[in-house]
Amino acid sequence: MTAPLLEVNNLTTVFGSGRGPIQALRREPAVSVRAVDDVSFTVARGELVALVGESGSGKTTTAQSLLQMIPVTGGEVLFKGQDVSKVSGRALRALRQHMQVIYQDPYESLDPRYTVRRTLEEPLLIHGIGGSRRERADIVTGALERVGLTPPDLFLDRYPHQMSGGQRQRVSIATALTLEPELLVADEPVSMLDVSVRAGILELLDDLRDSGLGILMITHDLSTAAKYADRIAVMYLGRIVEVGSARDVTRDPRHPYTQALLSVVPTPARAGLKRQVLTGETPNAAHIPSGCRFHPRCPQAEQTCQATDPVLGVVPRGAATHEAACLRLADLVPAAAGGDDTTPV
Amino acid sequence: MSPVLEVEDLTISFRVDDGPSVDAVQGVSFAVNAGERLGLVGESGCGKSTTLFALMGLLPNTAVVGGNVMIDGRNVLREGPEALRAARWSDVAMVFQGAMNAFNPVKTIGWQITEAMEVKGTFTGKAALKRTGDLLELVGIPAERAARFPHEFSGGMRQRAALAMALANDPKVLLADEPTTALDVMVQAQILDLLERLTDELELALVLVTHDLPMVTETCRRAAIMYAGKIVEEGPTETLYRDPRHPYTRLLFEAMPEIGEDRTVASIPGAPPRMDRPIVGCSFAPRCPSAMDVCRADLPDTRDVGARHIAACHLNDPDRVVATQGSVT
Repeated sequence: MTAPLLEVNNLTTVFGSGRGPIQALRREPAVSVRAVDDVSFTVARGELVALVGESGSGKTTTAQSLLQMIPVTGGEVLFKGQDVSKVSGRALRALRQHMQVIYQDPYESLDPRYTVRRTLEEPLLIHGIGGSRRERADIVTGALERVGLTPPDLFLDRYPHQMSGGQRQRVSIATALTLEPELLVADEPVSMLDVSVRAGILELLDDLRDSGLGILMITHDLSTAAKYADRIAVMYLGRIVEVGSARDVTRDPRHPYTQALLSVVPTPARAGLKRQVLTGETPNAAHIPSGCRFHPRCPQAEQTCQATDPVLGVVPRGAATHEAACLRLADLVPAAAGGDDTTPV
Repeated sequence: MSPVLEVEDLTISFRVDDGPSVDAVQGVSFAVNAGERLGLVGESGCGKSTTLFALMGLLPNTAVVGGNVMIDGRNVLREGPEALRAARWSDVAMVFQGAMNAFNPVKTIGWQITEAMEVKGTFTGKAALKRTGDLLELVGIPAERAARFPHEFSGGMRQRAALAMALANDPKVLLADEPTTALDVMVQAQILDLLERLTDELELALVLVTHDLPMVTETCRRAAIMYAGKIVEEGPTETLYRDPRHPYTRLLFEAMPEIGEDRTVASIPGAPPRMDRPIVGCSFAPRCPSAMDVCRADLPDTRDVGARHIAACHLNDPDRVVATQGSVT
């Protein structure tokens, strides 16, 4: 097997190590926020990996760190075998051309004064792609066709305010595609869109995956991840707590956090079943609990969970690719492991 | 038992200078009993929030409102603005979309909840302060947090505080406009749990406005589906899911993936119609995969299609049911 398109090893991002003048005057200790803590995963070509978690779980910071949009504290990010965190300047820009990102809010991510044509041409000019005006125009219309904005002539001279949310998100994706990326990072690509158009955008990402792109999708919506991702990594307080095939993670969840998250996803087919609501909100990454960071909210926590920090391990009686970080993994094996009966359907 | 909230043939149109008026709500009727939860579901612009604003008497002057709104037996719409003002917050209260961001940043949470009572004169002085603490406890916030400022609360806690404020004057009807959008899944579940508990314990009639049909299916026993200013289907949520009788309802369910269900997920093609132009026939016909000639010509009647289940679709016309059954699903 060839090396994966993207390989993230022990990525760690710490913010604000040190203290500001006010904290210094008050003699408060320096605070640091471990937003991403020892995260490892891979994305292969033609694979869609979903990074799932609540606000503050570090999923967006993980994406920004691997794109070198914010400085990385530790670990390595290998894109096509090359460590992104070791390059800078022109070399980084060359690498980045092939790692594109689309954002959550197509109402804010597009320049309101730019026409679709200009929005799509800008990255080409920045990266010096497409020698002539003619060549650039071909790339632009090609990208619009690929995202389903057809005929392109109809959209080229439109401004963002003349388009719907779904169309704007398609423009964002087309803009990323002009540079022929190999990796696409999609940060909550549909959460701002109307329910009726979400599936269309997700199908588009699905098609791009089938055409060979590696896609990292960041989402808080497990049902979207279950439907469209090949693999799912569940994050909690900067750590991946469970990872595996989308089917294993959503039908046979082993980590108590994943189980709780799944239980609160509204599913009409099993309406009336008890939600396993965790009290409190995601704790602050500035104050990570001792031992297993999930123990204060965990319904299964034991004494040991307060002391020992669990690492990812293959789940018993499950798929070899299915891993979870829980000290009680061996005790929490479902009665018929690997079956569908853990999630009542 | 007579319903606490009864909306009958509500119409809302907005006058527009130099143009045709916009008929945002076109004859909406529904009723909610004490302790009952009704979901009002639809895409952006279908008129669901406008309906709630009319019940609160908070529409701008350009709005022309018709029909009847009975709150606890009083026809507040007929009796005029004074009756609406008297009912607002006392009989009917609302949690607005993004309410957690609507607190005054320079006043404590407690001050703002107390003010809601003193303005209405329902509770004053010490009694109001005591009740503020009780209300906060009711929504799961320790009473002593009343002295805190909004920025010291997380989003989920601010949403709880907004609920406490809405309940300040002991309303009988609670209107909630997208109360969980912008909140995380787990916090959303906490708020839904809270709404369920409050409606049960306080015998509140709840109208939950959202675009999230799966969420409504879990929270409410009944739902009304709105499209282009009209209710196109209403019934028990379980029935809407198992046996939808309007294609729009079915497509809304199909638009969202569901864990554990291997089925196709598809967006609904097209966009809702413009409301400033007359619509001939069924407003959903241009987007409907089952549309027939009659749909483009005649407005469908709203019919009983089951127990407490109504739908406005030509597929349910008695003389067509037999012929078109194959294309319903």
